[in-house]
Amino acid sequence: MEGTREGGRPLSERAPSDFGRQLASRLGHATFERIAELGLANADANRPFIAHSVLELADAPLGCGDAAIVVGAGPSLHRRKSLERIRAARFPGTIVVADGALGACLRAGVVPHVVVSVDPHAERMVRWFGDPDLAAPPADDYFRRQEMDPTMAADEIAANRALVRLVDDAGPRIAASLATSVAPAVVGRCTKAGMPTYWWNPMYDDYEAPDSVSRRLYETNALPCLNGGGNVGTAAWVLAHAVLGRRRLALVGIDFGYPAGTPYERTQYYPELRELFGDDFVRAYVHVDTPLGERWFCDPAYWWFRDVFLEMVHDADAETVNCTEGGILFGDGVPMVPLDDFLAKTSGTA
Amino acid sequence: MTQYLRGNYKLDVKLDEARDPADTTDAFERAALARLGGSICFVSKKAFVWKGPEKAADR
Repeated sequence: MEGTREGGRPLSERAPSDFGRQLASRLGHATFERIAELGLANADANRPFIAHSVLELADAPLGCGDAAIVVGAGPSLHRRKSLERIRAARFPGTIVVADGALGACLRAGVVPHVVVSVDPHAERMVRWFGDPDLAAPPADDYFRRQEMDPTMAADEIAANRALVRLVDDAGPRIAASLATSVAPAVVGRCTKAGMPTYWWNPMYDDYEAPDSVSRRLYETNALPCLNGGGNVGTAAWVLAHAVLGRRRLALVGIDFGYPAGTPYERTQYYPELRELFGDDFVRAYVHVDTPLGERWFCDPAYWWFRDVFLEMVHDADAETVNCTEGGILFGDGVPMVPLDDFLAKTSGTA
Repeated sequence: MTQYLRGNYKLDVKLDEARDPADTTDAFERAALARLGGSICFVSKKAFVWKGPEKAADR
């Protein structure tokens, strides 16, 4: 990792206004260290279950036309009732969702064409699909604590049980686009729910570099490597245009942040930030005034996701509009557009 | 993991067990930052999809 001691001072001693952004600028390398070992181990474990490349999805019958909506699990999904509006508009295009948003979609009566999963965590991600083996609230409060699925905070066990039923019912109609890095538990759950699975490798590093991890992984399974952009929402967006070939893309629930007033303890990286920086942890959050006249804040990781997306969007052979109606993702190449406008333009023409 | 990560060099120096305090700080910071990272990597200035050495990459 380069420059971890920039200016000769450890990270924890830097000015609060820049601290979160400086942390964010180092998260590319940090993410490799966070997920590579486990992701590669999962790729080995998942190999017997890999039958279809994600490239086959390009020819699958999904939504009509060249429009797609990419759904993330940010708080605006609920605040703006985005899914209810998509359902009411009878959007005819393709719907691609991050795993964390699957439950919200199904509860709103929106059955996505594709659900994307990438995170290698051994136990957590299967919960986005409903975990049939969950009998009691786990010690891990990841789901109870977060904004991503508020139903989990109310009654975790009942919410999980209901989600199991919803996913079992809709599973055969949803294609699971799985990174080889996902935990075997996710693979088992998708298979049990009747989801057809389509596989790809996360791009871990430069495939042209000597001793590239990505290239070695490709050589073991011949699957394409997707440049994931740091998070599953961005990976879903990459899939929508670079694999499925959709050319008009709308984002919903891609906030990359929290509305002002959200308790810090309900943010995704709170335990880590608190443990690393003690009572000074608040300095690590980045605060943003948005074009919608709102104040939002985010973890360093979310700021990195934003920077990465704004870099990637310029290389995409597609038009992207952000219909999240909240959050911190805005800038050159990512205009904020009301969801109803996108739905009106694509209704009947998608 | 070792089948993917291989060193392409040999060390010709003897490692000193006593580490510089700055190295310790760097190691702590690396470990700390790793806990704050994302769920998938981003590789700057590379294709969205790499289909292997024989096939054209989409950009």
